[in-house]
Amino acid sequence: MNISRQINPRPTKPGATHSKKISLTCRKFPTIVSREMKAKIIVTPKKAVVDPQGKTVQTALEQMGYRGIKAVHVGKYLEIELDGDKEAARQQLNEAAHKFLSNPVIEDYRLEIE
Amino acid sequence: MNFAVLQFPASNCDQDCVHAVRVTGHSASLLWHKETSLGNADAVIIPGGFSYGDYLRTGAIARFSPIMQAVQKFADEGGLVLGVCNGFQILCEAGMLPGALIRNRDLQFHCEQVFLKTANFETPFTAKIPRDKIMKIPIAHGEGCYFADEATLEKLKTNNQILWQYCDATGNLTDVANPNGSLLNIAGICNERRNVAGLMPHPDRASEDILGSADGRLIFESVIAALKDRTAAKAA
Repeated sequence: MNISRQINPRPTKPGATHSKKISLTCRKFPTIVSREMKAKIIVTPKKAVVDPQGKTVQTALEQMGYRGIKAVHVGKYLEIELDGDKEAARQQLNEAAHKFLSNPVIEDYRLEIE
Repeated sequence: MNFAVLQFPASNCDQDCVHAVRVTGHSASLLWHKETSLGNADAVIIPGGFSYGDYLRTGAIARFSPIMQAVQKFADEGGLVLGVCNGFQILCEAGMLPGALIRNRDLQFHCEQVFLKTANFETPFTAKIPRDKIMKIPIAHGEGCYFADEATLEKLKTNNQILWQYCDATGNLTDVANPNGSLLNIAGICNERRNVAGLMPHPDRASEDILGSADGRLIFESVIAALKDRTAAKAA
């Protein structure tokens, strides 16, 4: 779809008039062209929070004979499929991750969008 | 007095709470979480259970239910709110109480009688508990380990917001008596204003002798006494 519009910007100099053809891109109107994305949110327990699951998994790995394991942290992984503008999505998901998808009292999160 | 007992999908101690209130001679009614008003409730109880299947985190989804906005407003106006078990978790998730409840340190679900020592008797939730009383009340949870950062713990101590702590039968706060690894053996706390409280043990399951203990009733009776005082103060 070719979206273009004839607009008359405010004259830059007194008396000067001109018209310019401006093409509107998806940058300006993100809803016109939507982009499918996948957001990945990784939630992990904060370092100060005891993580009995991580400790138990670590012990099990050691009992199985795996060596050199210093620590295991068990968290959560969320995959969110969405479309729209990437920056707007990042802003929204950061807000959601802080408010709802993770609990900042006990968890940290990392957001990746691809 | 009239208690509103909230009902979320997968609440399972709602009827227990209603019964516990009724045995004290007062009325309680169930309130579905999609409601937006608490009606003429004098106090609110958020009961135990597994609201929304404990998906994501315990209490994380329930806190966004429509009724929680009314509960927040009610608490802001000074109304008394008691959260039991999952109710405690919901109040923490909602930010109405500080800290969080995480997985028990041994990863086991604990369903057993515990002993509780009351740390502050000057609140609407504890005033009727005899000073030397060690309460025997059951717990039933997998995520009851109370956690808060050091600054928050300090604040809880300074403001006397710790209401109940796990102890042995004689009142010692030992590590063995701590069923879930809670910091400072914390079983229940209140907010700074002392009108919102939460605890992991179930006073609703210890409200009559036939249940093995009637100690939990002391908490309901404390709330009722506080409500009566408020009504009397209003009338005066």
